[in-house]
Amino acid sequence: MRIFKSLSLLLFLFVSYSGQAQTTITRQLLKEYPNCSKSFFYPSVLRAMNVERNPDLDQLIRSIEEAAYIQVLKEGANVLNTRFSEMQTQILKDGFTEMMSMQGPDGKFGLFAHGTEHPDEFVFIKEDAERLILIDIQGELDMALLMKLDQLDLGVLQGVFDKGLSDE
Amino acid sequence: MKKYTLILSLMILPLSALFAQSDAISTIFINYANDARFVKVNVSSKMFELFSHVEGGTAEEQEFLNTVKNLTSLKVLTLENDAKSMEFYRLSLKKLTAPYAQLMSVEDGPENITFFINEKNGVINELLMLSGSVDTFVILSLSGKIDLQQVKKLSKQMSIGGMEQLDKVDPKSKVK
Repeated sequence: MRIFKSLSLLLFLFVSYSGQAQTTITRQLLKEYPNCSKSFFYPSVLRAMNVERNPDLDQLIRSIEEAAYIQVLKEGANVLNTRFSEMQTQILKDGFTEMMSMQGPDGKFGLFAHGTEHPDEFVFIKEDAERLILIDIQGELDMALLMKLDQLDLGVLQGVFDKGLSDE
Repeated sequence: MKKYTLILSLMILPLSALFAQSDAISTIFINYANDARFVKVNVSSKMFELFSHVEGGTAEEQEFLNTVKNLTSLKVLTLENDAKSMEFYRLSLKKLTAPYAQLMSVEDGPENITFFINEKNGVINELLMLSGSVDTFVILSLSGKIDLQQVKKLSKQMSIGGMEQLDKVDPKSKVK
């Protein structure tokens, strides 16, 4: 069963690897860090990766049409200290609005949305000592649910993508 | 020319007073926001604005949306595992002057919590919470049209560190 799941995932990744990089910042990161980890996901795969069958997470991701996940490991990559703030600036320049942000000793993240009443594009960026992460989401997110996730832990969402990368 | 200068001054004066009112809390947030030891969370007005367009699928979700639909901003600063936490708490208490009025204070074991409100014409525009203990300091600012009864529920509905303390708000409290 595990083999079947892995094969399905690999097949999916192979098919979807050419997925369109959606936003300017996504394209910039892919160009700037060609050796970064990158994956493109569709709903069925996202649901499959929710191995613990967390109902809240299922609800959160059910309206996602496509998502791109980029992870740049700082070791070996030339990531400037200003890169995160430059990313914020670029995302805002592209017409996104900052929905929430968090900054602390362990790192920082920002969630941005594009659209007025029902945003259909989201960008989540995160930086910690070891890596720079970008999640580019096409589709809707359940906003009410987002606020209820433990400690505003958008890392829950990131965890799903991380799972995808480790399976890869 | 003097006439225009006078008119301009008269126009600017009320604005200055307005900014001065929020200076205390702005200063606190700006100062601590630049301190790398603090965890800073900011939920923007856009986020709250979106909630007004969302329909809750369950009764629980609808209750949450009703609670947050009148809010415009949330800022939380948290300092953890720091021996100077109580010092920050006391210092911040001293800085809070009008238009903030103390609503209530709670001593819960080693933890001290003080709630302030910024009220105008019977409407609470901001709820400010300061919490200090031996090793933790939290300052939380919730803006919008605040209903204390509803805010109390947020402690369980929004999972942001520090918000659990909102459960200690007594909606029947009167400004001191």
